[in-house]
Amino acid sequence: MQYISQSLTFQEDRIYFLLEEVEQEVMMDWEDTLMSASAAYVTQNGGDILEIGFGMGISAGYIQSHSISSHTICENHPQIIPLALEWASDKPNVIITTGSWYDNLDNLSTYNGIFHDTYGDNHLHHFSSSLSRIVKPGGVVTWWNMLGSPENLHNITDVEYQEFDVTPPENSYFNHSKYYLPKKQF
Amino acid sequence: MATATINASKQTYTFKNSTSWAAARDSTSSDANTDFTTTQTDVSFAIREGYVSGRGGGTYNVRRSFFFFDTSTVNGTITAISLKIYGVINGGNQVRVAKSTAFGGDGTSAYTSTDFNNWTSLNPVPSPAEPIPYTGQLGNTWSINTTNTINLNSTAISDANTNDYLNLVVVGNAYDYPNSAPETDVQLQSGIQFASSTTFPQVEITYTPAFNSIITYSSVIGVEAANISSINSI
Repeated sequence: MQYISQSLTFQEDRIYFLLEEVEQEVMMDWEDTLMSASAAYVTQNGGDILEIGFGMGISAGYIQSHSISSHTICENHPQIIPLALEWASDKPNVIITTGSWYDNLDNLSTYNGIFHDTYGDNHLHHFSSSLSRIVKPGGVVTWWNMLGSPENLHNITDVEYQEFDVTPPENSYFNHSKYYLPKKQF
Repeated sequence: MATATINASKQTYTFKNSTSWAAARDSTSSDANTDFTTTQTDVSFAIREGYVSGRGGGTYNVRRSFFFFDTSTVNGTITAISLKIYGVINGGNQVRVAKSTAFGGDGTSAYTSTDFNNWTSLNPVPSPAEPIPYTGQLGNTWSINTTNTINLNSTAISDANTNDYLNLVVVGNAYDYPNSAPETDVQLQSGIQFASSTTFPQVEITYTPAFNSIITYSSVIGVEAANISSINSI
């Protein structure tokens, strides 16, 4: 399965695709609180923000609600890219970078805040080792934590976690009652 | 030379899923297992190795199939062994056969969850870190809707001669056997027809029959019947 080859269905409360006739949710609106908190964390110092994965655009909207200099968004799914471009059309500080964030690594700048939230990311194992290249000194980073526990898959050290009570409807990607928002400052 | 066909006395498939490759591949226990005896059952993913990405991470899948053969009925020195397993459903990837210490080692126990990583030597500890191959080839192509015949190597032959049993596991050859974490979405799998009525999982053994040290003659040409006992006592 290659995620970017999947045909996505967009509904008001979710994005999903069908895999062997089973619904695979990519993102759902129950995450709104988590997206808001993630956006607040990565924008706490203002400056230049990198958002990897546009999805439903929930976090992008929250990031825009904070005082920042620039907002770079990496998106690789061919059905979501046009939505991101349309969303950004009236936002002069937004830069949409299409394709894989890892393939675009040399084209990226350095950032004060980074939010990584992708689906079917074949370059996820490069995430932690790539951060030193794109994080400004003192910058902050968070990412979607799928584990439902205060630990991360990326072996990033000295991470703090903010705990949230969540009640997601049954879905294919997160079915825990707690979300632990990772907070890493460089 | 003589041949013997010995059916598996134990056959089990088992799996482990985890968010890290090491936690899946080197796990000391499986998530679940299914034992088979006489009821023919197609298992699509009896051998599997792969990674499925998702939101914020992915899941590594490792599935293995264990077999135990009691070779004690072979009266002689084994010189060749072929493993025969009927393949179903999926194919395309390669498998590898390795020595196992599951089933209590000598087949006296049923598969237990902690057998998942028992497929190598006991020295220094049982773990798949140093697998002992039971095939000379680097991998064996898996065919479907037919019997896969895999020739086992001299280590397997020696073990069968020494132990009077053969305890083995069939694993994926791309990632599981060499302990190489898949880095992109991939699912390689092989299906097995357990307890197949076409070809029950079995080993075909070629052996040199043992010379019977005590042969009792009931008649010897040119020897009086009363004297046969003298010949038998030589």
